[in-house]
Amino acid sequence: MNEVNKSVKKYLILFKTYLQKYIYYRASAFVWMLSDIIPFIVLIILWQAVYQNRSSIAGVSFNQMVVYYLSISFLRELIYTGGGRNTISEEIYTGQLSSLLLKPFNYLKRVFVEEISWRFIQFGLFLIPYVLLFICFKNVVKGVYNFKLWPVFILALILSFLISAFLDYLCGIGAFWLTQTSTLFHLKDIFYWLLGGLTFPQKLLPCLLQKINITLPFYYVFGFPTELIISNLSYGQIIIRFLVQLIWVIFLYLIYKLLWQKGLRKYDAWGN
Amino acid sequence: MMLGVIKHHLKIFIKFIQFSFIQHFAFRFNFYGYLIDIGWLLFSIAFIKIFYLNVPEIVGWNYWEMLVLLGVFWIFQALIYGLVVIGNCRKIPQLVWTGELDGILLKPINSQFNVSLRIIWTPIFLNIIPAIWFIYLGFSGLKQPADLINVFCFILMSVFGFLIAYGLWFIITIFVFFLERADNLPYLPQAVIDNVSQYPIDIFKGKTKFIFIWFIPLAFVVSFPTQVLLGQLSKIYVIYAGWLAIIILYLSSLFWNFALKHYSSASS
Repeated sequence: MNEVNKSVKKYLILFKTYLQKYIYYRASAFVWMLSDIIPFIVLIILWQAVYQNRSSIAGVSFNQMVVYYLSISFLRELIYTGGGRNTISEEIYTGQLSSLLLKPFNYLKRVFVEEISWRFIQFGLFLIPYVLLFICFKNVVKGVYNFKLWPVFILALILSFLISAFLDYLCGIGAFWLTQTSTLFHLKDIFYWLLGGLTFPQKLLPCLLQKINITLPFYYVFGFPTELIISNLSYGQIIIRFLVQLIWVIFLYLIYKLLWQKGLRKYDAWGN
Repeated sequence: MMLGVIKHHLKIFIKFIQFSFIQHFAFRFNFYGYLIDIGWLLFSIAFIKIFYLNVPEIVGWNYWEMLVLLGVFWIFQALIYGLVVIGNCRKIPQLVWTGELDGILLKPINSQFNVSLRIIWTPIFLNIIPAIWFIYLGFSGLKQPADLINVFCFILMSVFGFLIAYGLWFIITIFVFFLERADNLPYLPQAVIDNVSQYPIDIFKGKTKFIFIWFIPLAFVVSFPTQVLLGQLSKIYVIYAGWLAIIILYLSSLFWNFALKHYSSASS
């Protein structure tokens, strides 16, 4: 028990340290937040123009569309992880990894703690603009959300965060083998935008693509939790997708573990 | 006198291009880097395709017209990112905080010109090839040949549009002189300019549209030049674009000089 307490305390100290670091970078976090919201606001405006003479498109009403984009952009701020790009691949390239491996904490857990502290600052900053946005659209938002399923939603959200993190970290440890990993991160982002639901609700994709998409991990990062809260999935669909989401978390974790071990064996650094 | 200054800066600009070419060709062609651009290009086409699978037109623009707009947008992006953004605007925060700006200010050329065009990112210009192909596909689908006068007015207006976008980007970026630790500030105009200018300006209504035409004139960057190319907009807008470009460039230079007065070097 004492060991567990010690371990928790260790990571709590790390969390506080990172929190202090990121509070210093709050202006930067604010700029990221603004530049993240803008594409979604423009997409809402675009849809408003498209819906002018239509009540629904592919069975989605304008109100549902607005709520979809507001929700998915909000969830993106919560879920989207950047530790693979900014921490893991950087530390492998610069050789900082060598000294970090000698420190008395688990490398993956440390990256995770850093990630959560950054999300914490982001969350504090974006809560106010999002509350204002939801107030602006309060007539549209009314009645669209399905809060009955909130425990399932929270669980799905945690799994989404884990998929996002493992995909991100997998790209990050690509630095063991590749001279530059930015291509991997960009490809991941393209899949998020196209298939992850960031650009369109899943319903608007062609039928075949929809069927393929629900077997891929990208949809489970942003699309699934958003659809869960705006109530257009049956219980059967929810159970199946939830299971697929869980399988992806386990699978990606195992792949990460395997590649991390292989990468470490290949890793060498000089002068550290 | 004025002509001499322009000639001098033009010569330096050519040197900048030569230097950037040598720098980029010294290494093997970065195939993976180019793969990213191709990926985003495919994403743009998929985006339009999926949109038009669900609706026949967007604010009066059909699929082929939208393809022309996409091509123009990609040319604009290649030019602004290649000439101004990647190697220069994004580096301004670093120049200010590290004090490297001192070295630039001491050079006997216009400092705004120097910080804006020093490093040119040449590989991105390759994107212009598929972009021209999009425009060609669009015109083929429309079964309408491009009118020569329209093409000339389009090129002229695109140059003005480019200068407008540059001016706005630069003005927002130099707020770094007054803000602490916002090294990502150049990404803010990127989010606004990229997202607003990649769609027809008619998606905006009322006051917002008015603002994007006359105050933050992003309509003149991609949407209006495309309309001129398609022969759907009066040519008088080319003159408006010229005036707006002059005003914004002048404002950017005023703001640059004002910011420099507040600059205290980090290194000395």
